[in-house]
Amino acid sequence: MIAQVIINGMLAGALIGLLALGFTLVVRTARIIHIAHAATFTTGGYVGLWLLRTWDVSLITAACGAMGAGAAVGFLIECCVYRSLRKQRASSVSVFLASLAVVVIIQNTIGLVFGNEIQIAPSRFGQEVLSICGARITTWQGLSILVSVSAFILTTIIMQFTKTGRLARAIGSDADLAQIAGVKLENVLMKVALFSALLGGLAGYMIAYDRSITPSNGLNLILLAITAAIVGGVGSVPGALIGGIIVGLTRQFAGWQLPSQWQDAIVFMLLLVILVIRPQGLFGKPIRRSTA
Amino acid sequence: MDYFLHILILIAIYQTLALSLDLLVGHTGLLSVAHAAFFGIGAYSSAILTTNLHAPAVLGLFVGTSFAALLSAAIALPTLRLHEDYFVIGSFSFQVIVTSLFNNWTSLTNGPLGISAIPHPQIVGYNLNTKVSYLIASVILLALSQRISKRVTWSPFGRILHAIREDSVLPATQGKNLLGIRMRIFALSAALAAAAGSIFAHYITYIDPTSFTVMDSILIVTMIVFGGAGTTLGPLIGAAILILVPEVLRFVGIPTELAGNAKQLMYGLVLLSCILYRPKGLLGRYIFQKWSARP
Repeated sequence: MIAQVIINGMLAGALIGLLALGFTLVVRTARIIHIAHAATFTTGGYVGLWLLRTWDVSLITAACGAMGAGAAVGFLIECCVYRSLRKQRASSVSVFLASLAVVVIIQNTIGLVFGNEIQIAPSRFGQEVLSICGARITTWQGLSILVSVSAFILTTIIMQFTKTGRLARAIGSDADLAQIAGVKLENVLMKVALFSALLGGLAGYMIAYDRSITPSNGLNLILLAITAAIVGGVGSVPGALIGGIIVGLTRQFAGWQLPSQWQDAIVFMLLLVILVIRPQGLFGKPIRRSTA
Repeated sequence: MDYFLHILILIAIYQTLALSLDLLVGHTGLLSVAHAAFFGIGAYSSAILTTNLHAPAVLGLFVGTSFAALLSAAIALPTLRLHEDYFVIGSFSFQVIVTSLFNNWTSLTNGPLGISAIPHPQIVGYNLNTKVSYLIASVILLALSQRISKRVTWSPFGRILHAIREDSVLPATQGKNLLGIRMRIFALSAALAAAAGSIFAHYITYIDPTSFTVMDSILIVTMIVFGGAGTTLGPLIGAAILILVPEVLRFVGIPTELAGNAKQLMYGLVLLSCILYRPKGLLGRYIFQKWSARP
């Protein structure tokens, strides 16, 4: 039983981490509470399932479609909302509100197009059960752990060793200084937004295929991702994965030991505890405190 | 006529909500997206106490408001010591979790089915059971909130709130207890929302979690931003317009299964275009954008 709980927690955690990764990248570079990441997630999930159902395409094609749809939404958000707010030097709180409004708009557009009912994947590939140390997982779940971990490795390589990654980190540590040094801020931020949206679409597709998706569960999942990002340290790439796994394990253990209504509330407790004892998270740099 | 009264009561309740949230958003410069959660806590406290325990309605109102004020500290204490962004995140997660508890704690809240047959209360011998009497009750609450809000924001305490909104460093250097002040105004705002929730529950007589979701919190914030944050009339006008317009659209003949989505889509578009093109809202005085210089 305990092995099953741990495996399920890691599985959920890897997917939450994948969602947290896209979120944390934008937070780190653009300094935005990028809650609109939920919109790329929902779009990716819906487009992926729609391709599978209506066009009967292969799983890989559907994944590409989901990532493309996520990236398109990410492009629109960056282009029409964030860029214009940056030009007005809007405060982070009004950027958050705009981001939330984007989620409301996209989620309801999807509701109008696809309906508000729960959606599940049509052909259930990957339901063969594997047994690992007495715990049972499906091949799809095993595959999703692999995908998630490789996304993390890829992101780490991009952020550490490519030119764009270095520029993104420079903007993250001091945007004004980076601009003085000749970094084209908007170009780099657009690349980061697109990459993050690709990851968001992929995460949406993986989660929607494994379980189900509704237009409104993006906001619940983004809360798990935000908690994961804060637990791991906002802006830290490995922190997102570790934080995701911690959140996943906490939820599974809560679901196992406590009455089911506390499964989500425990995430809030986790968030509060980490904000009190270590607000910078496990891998984060110390953060600027408010004057209070 | 009944329908018309119903709309008026809803407007008065939402005006109370917008007014109380504006104490926080417009006057103190803190954004909370948990207002519907406090509204729901008030409604559920009243509903549970009066149906399961047959307590008098006044006790339900009292317990709801004090409970909401206490719970506001659960968000405020850990997050207000940090940057303002963490307060937003804290309030957002509080809202999501409270909705999830309303939905899943079936032994207490009856889950998605909601609580029905909430009794009409008797207040000083007068039975509150007609639409007109509820309109009077909700307008009394609105007037009371308006008085409280005026008294608070025009007092020396209100001056400090405005100072915190413009620049939180200056009042801190003058020895003002920023954490305490922000916590007090947040508790007041939460308590007023819970009072509105209590009246709402008795009026509607049936409540379920769908009235208290994050969407409703966003709606209340939209009312403020649209009307003009930090003004006397802004939140009232914002609430009235945003409640009335979907009701008018209902007569245009949008199919009912699309109406909910269309309504929320409209709210989202209103909020986004306000922030992009007119951040101070209709009657704006205080520019939502300017208050904090980016770090």
